[in-house]
Amino acid sequence: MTNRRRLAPYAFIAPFLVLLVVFWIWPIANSIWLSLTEWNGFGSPKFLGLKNYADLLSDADFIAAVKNTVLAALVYLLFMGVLSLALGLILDALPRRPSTLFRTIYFMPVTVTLVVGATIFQLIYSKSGGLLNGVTGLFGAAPVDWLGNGRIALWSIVAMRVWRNAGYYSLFIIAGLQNIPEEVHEAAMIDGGGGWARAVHITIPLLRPMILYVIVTSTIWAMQLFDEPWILLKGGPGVSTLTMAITLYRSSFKYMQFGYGAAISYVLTMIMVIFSFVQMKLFKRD
Amino acid sequence: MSKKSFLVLILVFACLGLWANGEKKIPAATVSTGPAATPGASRTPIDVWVWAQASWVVDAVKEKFEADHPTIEIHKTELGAWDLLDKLLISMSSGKGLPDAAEMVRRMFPKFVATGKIMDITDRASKYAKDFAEGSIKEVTFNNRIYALPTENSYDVMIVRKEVFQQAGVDTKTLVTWDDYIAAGKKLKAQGKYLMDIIYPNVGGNGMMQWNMYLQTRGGNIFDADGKVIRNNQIARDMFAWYHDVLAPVSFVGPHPMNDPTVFTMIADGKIAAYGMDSTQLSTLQTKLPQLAGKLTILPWPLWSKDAPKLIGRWAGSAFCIPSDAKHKDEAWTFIEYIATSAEGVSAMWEKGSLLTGYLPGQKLPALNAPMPFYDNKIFVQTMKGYNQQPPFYWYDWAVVQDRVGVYLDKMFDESMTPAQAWDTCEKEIIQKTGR
Repeated sequence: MTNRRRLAPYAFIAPFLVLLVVFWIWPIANSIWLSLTEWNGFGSPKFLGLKNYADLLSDADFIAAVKNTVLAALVYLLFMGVLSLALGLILDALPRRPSTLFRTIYFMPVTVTLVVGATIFQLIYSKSGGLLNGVTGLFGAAPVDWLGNGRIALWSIVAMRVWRNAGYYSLFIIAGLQNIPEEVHEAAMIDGGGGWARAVHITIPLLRPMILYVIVTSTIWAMQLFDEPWILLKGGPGVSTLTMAITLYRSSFKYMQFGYGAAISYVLTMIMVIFSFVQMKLFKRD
Repeated sequence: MSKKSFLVLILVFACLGLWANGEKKIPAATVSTGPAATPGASRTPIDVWVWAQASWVVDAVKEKFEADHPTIEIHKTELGAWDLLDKLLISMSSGKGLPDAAEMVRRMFPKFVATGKIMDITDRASKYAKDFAEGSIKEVTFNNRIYALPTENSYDVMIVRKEVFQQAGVDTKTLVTWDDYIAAGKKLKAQGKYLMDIIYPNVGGNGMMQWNMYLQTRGGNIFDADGKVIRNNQIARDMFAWYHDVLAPVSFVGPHPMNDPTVFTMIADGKIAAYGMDSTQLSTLQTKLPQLAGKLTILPWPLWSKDAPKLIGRWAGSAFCIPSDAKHKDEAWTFIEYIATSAEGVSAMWEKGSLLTGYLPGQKLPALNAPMPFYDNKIFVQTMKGYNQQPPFYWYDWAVVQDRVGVYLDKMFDESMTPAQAWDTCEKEIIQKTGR
């Protein structure tokens, strides 16, 4: 083989490798270094060692943000997971035309711009004259301050996220369902398996890879919770909807503490890695 | 057609295409909306970054400015105020994509100047310094060097719906002090109406800035002139308590950010009787609630007692600065000088955006002394006569201050802390986080 032929494959993948190094590897390496420094975006960063990470441990806002982010992610995953699975199963069982219609309807929220979606929910959640209080009022319930009450605000935002994404993830579930061979169901039916037994012993186990994909990707998405609490409440009232992504943005761009912001991003990454690892272990235990 | 003729035809089309494509690459021909430059003369394009009302002002003066300055062409970019600051910071840090002139939120200016990447314009601007309201020029001056020209320097005002007060048996002419307003608020409350609105949550900026209007007009501060956090700040502590115990019970404190449709609808419906804000909001209300033309009037900010000093509060205002790495600094200076000090610029600021100039000779211009039909034919500058004492206010590390005060105002309103506890904890955290 000539030298030219031997080098050809590398030449072909070189553009990708160059882009990967410039826009992926180098920024990651640089931000690890940045997280060990104090830097306001100008001049040379000052090396601090692990001080930024140590400071995070005593930062009350950051601790509140971690708590809010993890809690919101867990509750979101639970509701979104159950709802998207249920929607997927129902839509897959429907005849083709109504299934397509409802799939389109449930998919629509994800196409709505986040800012518009947040504004719509602001009106729905409004304490005076909001749709939600109007509906609960029909049953005699007192108006609730869905966004103004620090004990409820985070869950109002989680509900908005579930509304937005459940339909989207149900499409993945449907795709997974359609990959299950018909013969497996037929064999189970011949063996006397009823609908429930088939769902528990065939459908759900064979859906595991897709459920794992949905949960891992939506965990990563959930951990980056920023837009809704920022647009609607700026992390308030108080720190009740403050998330790690908001503290990251605030430290870097509002306080110009890019080193501290980078340290937050790595703690966030580590939490996401741990979550994903645990989920993969749980789902692949067989 | 012969093969030879066909090839010639192709060649001609190719040449025409190349020529046309070459023409397209002259940016002035594609983006200029101003008058044509003198044949042969080249125009220097300046990139100007602005937000909201100032964008309307630039649109209004562009044609006249470019006619008066035939070698300059304005390329305007409109951004949200906070997006603009973020992008400016990144551009200054990277040195790429910088504007030639940028509008600046004055209360955030210290951190930009501290980067060393804002042009020192003392040599050009010092001739105007004495003509600007003292507070405004101080906010762009650091170590006796001037880094921007102040533009908007709006005063906090009370915009009221006369007939809503009248329905509660209150003549708006009797509204002078906060005691008068609170007494009126109690009468409005009895009718299921609110005196004003309090932005909530306060965290994130605007809610805290609303509270800050009250602090300023009481003569309060967070920092002293040396940049140290005022310890055991009794005025701030009192303002937390007053906000919570006195103003909130007669005000709408439902969750709403600034410029939220909820509040505008409530004003339109007569559910909220007064809107206490800085005067830039005069144009916002006019745009959002055209149906209220003639039904609103302007009153000065209430006094804390009948014999209290007539102090003005401000939302800090804006300025125009030039990044030190900007490409066209001379042209950018010509533009910001025009906006901030020319009769055309100052008049357009008021007429298009209700941006009150900090340039004092400009406040005497006819445009700023004309009756405003939308606001009961009030003349704003005359309404504010006697209320021209701006106590010095210090905006050090304001991003941190905004967040801390906002968080603790929220904790006070959700009753997890008393006003005194909330302020005392807030003060400690500001000291700790700013190191001042």
